[in-house]
Order: sequence, then structure tokens, then C-alpha cells
Amino acid sequence: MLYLYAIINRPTAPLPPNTGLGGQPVQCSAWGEVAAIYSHHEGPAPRPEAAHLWRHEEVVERLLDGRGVLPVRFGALLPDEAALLALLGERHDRFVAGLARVAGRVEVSVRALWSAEAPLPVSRPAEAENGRAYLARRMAEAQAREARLREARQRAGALHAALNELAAAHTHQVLPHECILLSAAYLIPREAIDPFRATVGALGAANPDLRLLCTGPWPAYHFVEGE
Amino acid sequence: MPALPVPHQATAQPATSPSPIPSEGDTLLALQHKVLHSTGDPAEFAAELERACTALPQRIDADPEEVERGLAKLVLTLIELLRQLMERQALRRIERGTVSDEEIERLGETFMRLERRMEELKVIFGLEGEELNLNLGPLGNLL
Repeated sequence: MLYLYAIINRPTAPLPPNTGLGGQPVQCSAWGEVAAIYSHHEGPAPRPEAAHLWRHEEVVERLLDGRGVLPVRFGALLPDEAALLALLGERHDRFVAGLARVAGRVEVSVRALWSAEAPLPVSRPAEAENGRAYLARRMAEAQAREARLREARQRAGALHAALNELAAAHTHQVLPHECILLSAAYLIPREAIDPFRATVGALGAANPDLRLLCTGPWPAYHFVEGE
Repeated sequence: MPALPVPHQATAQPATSPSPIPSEGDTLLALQHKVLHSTGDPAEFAAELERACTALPQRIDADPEEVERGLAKLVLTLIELLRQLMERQALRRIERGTVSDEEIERLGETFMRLERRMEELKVIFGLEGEELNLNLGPLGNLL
């Protein structure tokens, strides 16, 4: 089996040595203008353990230096090189377009946690509560939830608008969980990493009740597929 | 997600080239290298994210001893969804003023009993309130 790490533009020079999962040497097969980065793999599919995930990440990141890279999600296996070349041929033009989209850009991730100081009311019906009182209580809870959702959308929207100014593309979720105000990934030019970090810092200073975590630069995992 | 043993107000070095990733054995240090900016302690941040993620059932456990509980979780989640949808519909009708006082009392009694019955079923199957949910990925949570 072949374990796949990434798709890159056909290299013009041999790639530096790289070690993949299981200590296997990383190899490269090209078709047309693109090439696949892989290593040989025996046995069952690799488990998504931290060490394996980081090894996959390291292989992909070493490719990032000065070239466009379409990262492949962890765990992709192909039966043999013939299947690999068939894949490259079948999706050649999409890969070329995708590589042009991510060239010179990296992904950064932002998560904003907001304070759980005012959790939503979750009450239980009192034993002696009648039907009318029960519904009145439920309506008050629903209105509190709605107000919180409006506030979340407004605050997340303001964060996202500032962060998105430096981005060529983005993906974001508002309130994926009650304590997570915003979970987002941005595709930014590599030279914009420091300005982006400064923007996150300014947002953190302007919103002391929020906790912001910005990580990166990552391969463009969220931006492999086109529009 | 493992916790991040990094100091308060961590700031990473400028990362204009791929971050150096340490050996496979030190994944915590590897994560630390990836922090571009953090307000607050990233270890607490990671712990809170982990709690948020693990509170949601990702899939039914296929372990024979757990399969009954897993199925109960799924069925009760769907029942809870229907209960909440019906209740919200009733609240909207009340807000519009299209429900009589008698109907309000009757609807309230019905939903109150349903909620109590759900609480009893959760106790029977050993489920907490947060467990009755499904993560729908980009769509967010079901409930």
C-alpha cells in the first residue's frame, strides 16, 4: 500500500530526504505538472495517534518551503503506484488549480472562547409547577438563549471581519459549542503571518473577556477543495 | 487533545518558515511551537476545548456491553429533538396569541410531563444532559 501525504507541483530538483510513517522513506511520483508525496505502508491503516499525526504533519511541512502544497488528510491509502498515477491523471487540472490557490499561502487557525460566567439558565420544573408556569419559564429560557445567540453572532462577526482582512479565503463557525464563540481557519500569504498575529493580539486586548488562541502556520488543510 | 505545558501569555517566535517540529515523542512541545498568539493559558484553553469536544458523542460505541447505552443515547437524542421542536412551536403560537388559556395549561402540562419522563430515562441509561446531542460538523450541534 502507499500512504499519501500531499500533492505538489512537479519538482524541478530531487526532494531532500524525508522520513514518513513507520520510518519509511518519503517518495515522489509525478504525472504531468503535479506530483504525489507518499511512503510505502504495510499492515492495517495507521491509527490517528498523536505521534502518527505529527509525523504526517512534519512530512507535509518540510514540503512547504517555497512551494505550493495541497496537504492530504491523515490516513489516505492507495493500493499501488498505478492507482496513484491514475489519481493524479484523473484530477490533474483540479490539483493544478488548487496548487495555484495555495501557493505562497499558509493556513492559520483562530479559536475564541468566551466566558461561561453567565451560563444559560437550565432549570428543572418544580414539583408543584403548573402547565402555564412551566411554559412561561421555558419561554424565558428561550429568550435568554436567543439573546445570547444574537450577541455571539455580533461579536464573532466583528472578530471575523478584522481577521478576514488579511485572508484570501476562510472557513468559520460561530458557536460550534456553547463555550466556543468562533472557530475559524484563514488562508493568508506567508508574509502576512506577523500582521495576522498582531491583529489577533489587538483583538485580544480589545476583548479582555475573550480568550483567543491562534495557531499556525499550517498546510492549507481547510482550503484544498476549490469553490 | 493533549494539554499544552506552556507559560501564561505565550508568544511564539516569528514563524515565517515551517515551524521546527520536534521528535515524535514530544508532541506537547510540537504544539507549543504552533502557538502564534494566546490570551490566557493555552493549557487551560486546550482543556476547555477538550471538554467541549468530549461532551458530544462522536459515534455509537460498538462495544457489545455499551451498545445498548449507545443506542439509547441516539434514540433519546432524537426524542429530545422532537420534544424541543414541538415545545418551540407551542411557544411561538403562544407569542402570537393564537392559543387559549385552557390550551396553554394543557400544553404546558404535556411538555412538563415529557421533560420529567426524559429525565427519568436519562437516569435509567446513565446519561447526562450534555450527552443528548449530536455534532453535525459544520452545521453545529443538533440540540
